Amino acid sequence: MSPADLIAIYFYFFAALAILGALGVVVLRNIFHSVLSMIVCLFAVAGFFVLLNAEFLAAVQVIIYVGAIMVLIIFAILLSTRIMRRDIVQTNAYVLPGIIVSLAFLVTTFFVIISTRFVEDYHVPFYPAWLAEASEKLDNTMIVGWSLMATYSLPFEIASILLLMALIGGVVLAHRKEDD
Amino acid sequence: MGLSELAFNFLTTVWGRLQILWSEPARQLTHWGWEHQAYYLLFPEISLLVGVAVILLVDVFLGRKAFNIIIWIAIVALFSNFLMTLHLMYMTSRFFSYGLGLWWGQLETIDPYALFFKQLMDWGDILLLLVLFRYPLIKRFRSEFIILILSATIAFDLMVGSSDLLAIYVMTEFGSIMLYLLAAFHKDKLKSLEGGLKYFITGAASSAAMLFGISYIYGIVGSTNIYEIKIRMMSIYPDHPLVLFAMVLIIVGVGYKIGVAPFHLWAPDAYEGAPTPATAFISVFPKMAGFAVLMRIYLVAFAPVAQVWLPLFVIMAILTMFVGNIMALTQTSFKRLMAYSGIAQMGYVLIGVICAGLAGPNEAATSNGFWAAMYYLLIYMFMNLGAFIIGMMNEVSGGSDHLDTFNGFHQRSPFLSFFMTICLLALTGIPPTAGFIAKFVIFVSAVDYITRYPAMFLLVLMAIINTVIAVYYYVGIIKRIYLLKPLRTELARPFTPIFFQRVAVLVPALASLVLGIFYIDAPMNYVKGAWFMTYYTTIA
Repeated sequence: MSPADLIAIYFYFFAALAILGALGVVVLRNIFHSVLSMIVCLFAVAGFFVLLNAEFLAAVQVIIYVGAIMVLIIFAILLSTRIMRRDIVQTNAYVLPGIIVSLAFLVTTFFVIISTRFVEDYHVPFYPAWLAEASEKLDNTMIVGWSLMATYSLPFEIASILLLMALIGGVVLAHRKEDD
Repeated sequence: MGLSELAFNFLTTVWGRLQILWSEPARQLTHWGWEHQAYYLLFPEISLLVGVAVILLVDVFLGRKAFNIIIWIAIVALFSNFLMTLHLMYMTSRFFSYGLGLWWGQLETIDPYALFFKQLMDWGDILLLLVLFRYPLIKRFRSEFIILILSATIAFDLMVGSSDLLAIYVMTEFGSIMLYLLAAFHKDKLKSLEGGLKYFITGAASSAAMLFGISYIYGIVGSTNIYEIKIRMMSIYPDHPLVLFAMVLIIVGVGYKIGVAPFHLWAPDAYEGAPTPATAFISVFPKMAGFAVLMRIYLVAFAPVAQVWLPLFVIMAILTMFVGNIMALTQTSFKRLMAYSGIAQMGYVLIGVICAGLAGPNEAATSNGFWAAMYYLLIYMFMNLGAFIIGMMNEVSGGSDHLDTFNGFHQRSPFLSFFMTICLLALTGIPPTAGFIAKFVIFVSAVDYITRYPAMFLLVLMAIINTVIAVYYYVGIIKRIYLLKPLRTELARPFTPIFFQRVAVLVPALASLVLGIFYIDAPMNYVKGAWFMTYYTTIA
């Protein structure tokens, strides 16, 4: 097998895994099983990142999404026992319009993508000067760190402000004391 | 060499350096590595952030007694934000003349266009905060309410200056999350939670669509920078389905934020459930910031392929005006009515954007349509905010936001009734008010293109029909105020707003009246001074 075949096998394996995982989230009737299925989906996405040479993103995906966020969701389900043991209905009155809209979106996306020759039509590599310079000396992870802390420090700071404000908002929405 | 000669040489050297600095500051400051200390340019946002931090501390140490102090701190922060934007505007016009360029990895730009919107938002915020000095309907978490409003203003400030699709996405999300929290602020009321949840879920879906579209744009042109995309779009075959698809997805995201049909469905519920100051905030600020972003994306980045998105915008404008106006006819809640009226108003602004798009990629930012759209947003902020502030007063004195509480409002407060009439006439577009001038410049800019593009005739016709439809429900409120009897006798009891609330009513109402009669040119020149948004330079 040539490397291209191996890459194709790798890609289709993780693609199937991601799609099956995502389907499981919306189809399974026990919410705990849905969460487990979502872990599979997010893990498969980490596989894509490895394929795209973004090993740092893959690690972050596993640590943060598969590790932290899913554990948080599992705890949330654990603590609300009302929904844990019960089978829930995953469909409602809008299942048919939902299917139609999703299928329309899928078909549109599919035809748009297969009618595009990305490499021949649009392959315009674009690297900012600092990135071209940095990629000669540093590896991926170091460049990510460098750009987060130097070039793109503004959105980094803004994200931290966003977290602070979301914390305050969460307190407002979840606070229960009545004497205030 | 004597001491005096040495001192003289020293002073002349310093003076010479100062003169060089004064005359060629851009080169000098760049030479001194000024660009690495570019946080100077963030002072407007930093002043707001300092205000938020001080409010948090004051809230901890002084407790709920200090609410008036907290409002004053917020007003001071907003005013220093305003002074800093004025200073940056002076810098851009005096030294740089084309804006201060792109900063922080070319994610943000400081140009008169962004500063124009930042200043508008300061004025609107200050007016809104003045009302809160006595607003009994928000009892708990009042200081958190102000913190959320200030941080949403930070987000919108950064959003209007974004020159990169990813920065636009991050700032839009920041602002939107603050808005979801504001919409669900009355957490004890089911309607508020429902509105907030609807706003959140549809907002998350539309943001995902926008991000999907951005990823396609990156796949097409290999860059997310607005000005870089413009250059690369010039060489791209525009009829390709992928370009259209990506643009539609980005319209979903941005159109949702500005509440144009068919992405308007969250608006009535979110407006009705939210506390009325939050509704006033949601009805003005995200729309202004959203339009700033929309115009920057579509009139700069996608201007070379305008023929792809213009038909979409025409359909959206017609749909928006009709949906907003027709749905508003049957509403019985003031906030729901203003939600649909706000949707309809955005349709007129879209006409201005369409005209600017027709002008071509290089003339868009100096076209009449562009100015008309910005002028309309300026006037819209004043007249809508004025109507909402008086609506708040009515809710405080009348008990609910049902339109019936407006019956005989002039017996309760002749002062508020008079200015409510002015604001509503301005929203309708009746001649002595600025609302008329705003609609007029929109129509004039569209009429310019009728000979070349017959579809524009249809658009203008639809807009005029909609203006007539809108008269029914706006004047309906005026009829309730002056002609109908109050429902209950206690609704006729006189109500006197406090001094700051009267200021908050007077300023927007008089602005929408006086700007239409005496100072038609002044806001237009202000808008024209803020035209520049096509500056591009590489800071390498």
